Amino acid sequence: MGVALLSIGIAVVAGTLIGLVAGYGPRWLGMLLLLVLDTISSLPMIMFALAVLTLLGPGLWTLVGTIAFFTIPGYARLVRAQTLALRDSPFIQAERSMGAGFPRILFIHLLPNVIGPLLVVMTMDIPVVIGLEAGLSFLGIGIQPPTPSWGSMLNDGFVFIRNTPLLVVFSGLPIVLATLSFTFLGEALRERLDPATRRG
Amino acid sequence: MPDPDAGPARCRPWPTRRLPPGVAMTGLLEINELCVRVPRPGALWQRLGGRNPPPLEILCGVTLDLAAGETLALVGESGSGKTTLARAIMGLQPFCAGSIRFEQAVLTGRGRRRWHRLRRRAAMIFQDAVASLSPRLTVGRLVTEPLSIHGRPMGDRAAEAGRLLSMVGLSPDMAGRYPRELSGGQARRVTVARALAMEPRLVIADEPTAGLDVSVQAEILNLMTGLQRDLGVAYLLITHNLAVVRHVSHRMAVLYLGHLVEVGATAAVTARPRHPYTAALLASEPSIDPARRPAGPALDGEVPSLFDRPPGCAFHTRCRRATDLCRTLQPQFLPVDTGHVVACHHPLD
Amino acid sequence: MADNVLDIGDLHVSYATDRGPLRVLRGVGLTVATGGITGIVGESGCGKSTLIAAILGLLPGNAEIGGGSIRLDGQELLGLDEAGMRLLRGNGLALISQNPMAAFNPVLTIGRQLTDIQYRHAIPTALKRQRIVDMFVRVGIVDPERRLAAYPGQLSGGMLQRVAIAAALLTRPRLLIADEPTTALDVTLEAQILALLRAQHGTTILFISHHLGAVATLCDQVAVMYAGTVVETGPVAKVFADPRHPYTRRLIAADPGHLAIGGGLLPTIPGRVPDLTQPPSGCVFAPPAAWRWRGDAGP
Ligand SMILES: Nc1ncnc2c1ncn2[C@@H]1O[C@H](COP(=O)(O)OP(=O)(O)OP(=O)(O)O)[C@@H](O)[C@H]1O
Ligand SMILES: Nc1ncnc2c1ncn2[C@@H]1O[C@H](COP(=O)(O)OP(=O)(O)OP(=O)(O)O)[C@@H](O)[C@H]1O
Ligand code: SF4
Ligand SMILES: [Mg+2]
Ligand SMILES: [Mg+2]
Repeated sequence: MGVALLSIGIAVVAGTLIGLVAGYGPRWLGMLLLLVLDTISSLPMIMFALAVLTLLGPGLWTLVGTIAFFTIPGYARLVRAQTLALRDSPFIQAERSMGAGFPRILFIHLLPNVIGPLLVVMTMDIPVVIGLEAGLSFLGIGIQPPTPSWGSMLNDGFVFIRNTPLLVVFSGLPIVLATLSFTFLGEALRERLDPATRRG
Repeated sequence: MPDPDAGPARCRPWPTRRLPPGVAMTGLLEINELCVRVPRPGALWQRLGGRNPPPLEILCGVTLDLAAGETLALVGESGSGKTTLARAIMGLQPFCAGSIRFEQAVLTGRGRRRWHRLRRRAAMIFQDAVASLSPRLTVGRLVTEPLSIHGRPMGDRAAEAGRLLSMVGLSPDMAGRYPRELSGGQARRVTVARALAMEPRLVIADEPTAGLDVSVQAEILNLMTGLQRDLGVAYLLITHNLAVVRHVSHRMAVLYLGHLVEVGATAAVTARPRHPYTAALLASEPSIDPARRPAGPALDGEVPSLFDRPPGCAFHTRCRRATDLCRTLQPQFLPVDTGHVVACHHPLD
Repeated sequence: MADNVLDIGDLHVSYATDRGPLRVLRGVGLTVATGGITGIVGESGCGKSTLIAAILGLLPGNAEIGGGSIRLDGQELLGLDEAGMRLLRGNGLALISQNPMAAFNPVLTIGRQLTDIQYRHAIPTALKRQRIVDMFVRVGIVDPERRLAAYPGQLSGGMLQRVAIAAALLTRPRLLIADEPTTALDVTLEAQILALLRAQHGTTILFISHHLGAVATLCDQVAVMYAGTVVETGPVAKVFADPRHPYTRRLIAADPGHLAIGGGLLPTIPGRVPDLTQPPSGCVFAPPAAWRWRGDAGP
């Protein structure tokens, strides 16, 4: 859970930055960044994560770093697409005509307009990453005992699946619940941020 | 407040005075032979062959100048390139030939630094008011945005916002609203307040009063005239409203399909238009008096497409005076009077 | 068919704001006769667009209808559910808005969007495209075939407005609502569009504009709105020639169309529109104390 929040948080910040620059910056930079992002997303995630984790040894930060690394492209692409749609819009032109600089346009004018959908995707991604982290821990290369993790708990329970199957059910329950609650949170956020349904 | 029945107060602080465009070298803004072309992506097979179709020519050989404290009205068909010209002046639209000089400094090419000075000393009011306001900022922040961009000390931001808003006749309470909570006219006034915040030397106003009721329109125009009188602001006023042109501008320029066709003192042009297009434009103005309802549009036929610009005079497809000469040879600017130039082979008299 | 296509009675609408409800429409009454063209003029911010949104059932989330009725051909629209409203928007009501850019999806071609709005007609796509091309010719769009492949951002404001008008006419609406459709057009085009709208014999039109000349040219009837109420209605010729309400008088006096050339100041209407979170009782025009102008008695 903590791993999921941490890695998604890092991925969102980095992805947003990369996406904004790729969308609003010079064309060649956008192309270059896009190439890098596409390269990352074309790597097989689980395989790569397994390789990295076995090479560097399991640990909290390696896990966070690996997950973040693989989720960045998704966010960056989303932000880039939205930035591209907005970069020629009249209000950005108006800002430029007043002499607004690059950082001001990126952070004051573009960021607030792209962040909404991003947050929604983020809350919907958290369950996926919880699952992923649980999976990796389950395989024994995620969070190492004695640090508790839902995945390793599930793993512990799994040993006794023959005798007490309920153990697996209950140790899996928090994962299911957390997943569901983040999905609901995402839905609610989307409703709240959508100007059409928003109430003043 | 002047009594409408007593006729308009006749005070003309900035007398109409003009030289042919391009002659005066002391102007605030000089535009010389400006051309704007945008590439036209061809079909796939054309692109593979490396032969893109010729670019679209949106503006062609536009030469204009503007002195400090002067109002120049720019009128023309929609799609004639008025907004494109305004954007080119602000450095938002790259141009392929010609030059722009602002306060004697030549501005060319891309790069924010070159345009920075102009953007501090000149402001643009965009055609689409609501869309030109950053949607997630409050009105109070929006009007003070230029001050904060240029690091102008403004003391209390809220007080400054209130001052700017009341200047355009909005209540300071509006400062907390978001652009989508404004009516069209209120948004327009916010953009005017924002443009005037830095007390610029030049304001390019793209339809600053479209969508305003006549009273608010009058307030905004009065405000603009007042600033001109006090501070010597120059205006490039783009508008479709000929009554406004007549009332506030000193000179007017008429654009047709990316070419200037007539430039001259407003009084002279409206009293005696020389170009057939200008004459048609003036004749189609709707009047408030239903008895004077025009029998039909003064100009029929279609605006030619930029994709195939007619050879010779661009207006010949709709001009009743067109001759073979018009169909083959593009007319040059010729002075018909002091400071009144026309691009037509057979100007009206 | 009823005499009046549209019949609005005592309509109240308010917006929830931080400073309490903003009572934007306060007892608006308006009728639009079948086949007629009715104009609405009035102060900017007096609630004209809100009125339109109420008719179309498109009020923003923070709006609340406080009472009244809106009837289209006798059918009550207030309280109609979303599905019924959508059905109406498809073939009963059409809107041409102030801002043509907002009316189109920027990532679809014009042709695609105008084909899609004809979903009610069971005709082949080629025929639908032909109808669009015909309509484009009618509204004076050059190069109609090529415009079909264009994206909204590639057309100038005026061109896009003509596309929007073409789109609205394609659905053959019972009531065509035009919210400042000519604001973005030059005078020759405005004249053409006005002539075009006039030539739609039988189409009932509700036309909103700040351009008094355009209203005089196009409309039969006019309603003058001020601060959320209709203060004067009547035939255009009569209202503009002999305005009865002091606000109408001042509005007409401020029209620069009247004035001869000159660099002087234009007449304005002094005072500020009353704060609609606490609207005054009685005549809303009283607060600017403007009706005393030229020795008029109050209404
Ligand atoms: N980036 C672009 N790509 C292709 N065509 C363009 C581009 N920008 C402008 N145009 C075209 O150039 C022409 C001039 O547009 P512009 O917006 O300057 O017209 P305008 O005179 O301001 O018209 P309006 O009065 O309707 O606002 C239009 O036909 C428009 O379609
Ligand atoms: N979503 C909203 N929330 C709060 N106030 C709003 C909202 N939309 C509009 N208003 C306010 O309601 C009033 C009426 O707005 P409306 O858009 O109907 O005016 P209008 O008559 O169309 O004006 P204009 O001629 O300027 O377009 C305005 O004072 C406006 O600020
Ligand atoms: S040059 Fe010829 S076609 Fe062009 S405006 Fe003059 S008379 Fe008409
Ligand atoms: Mg324009
Ligand atoms: Mg409106």
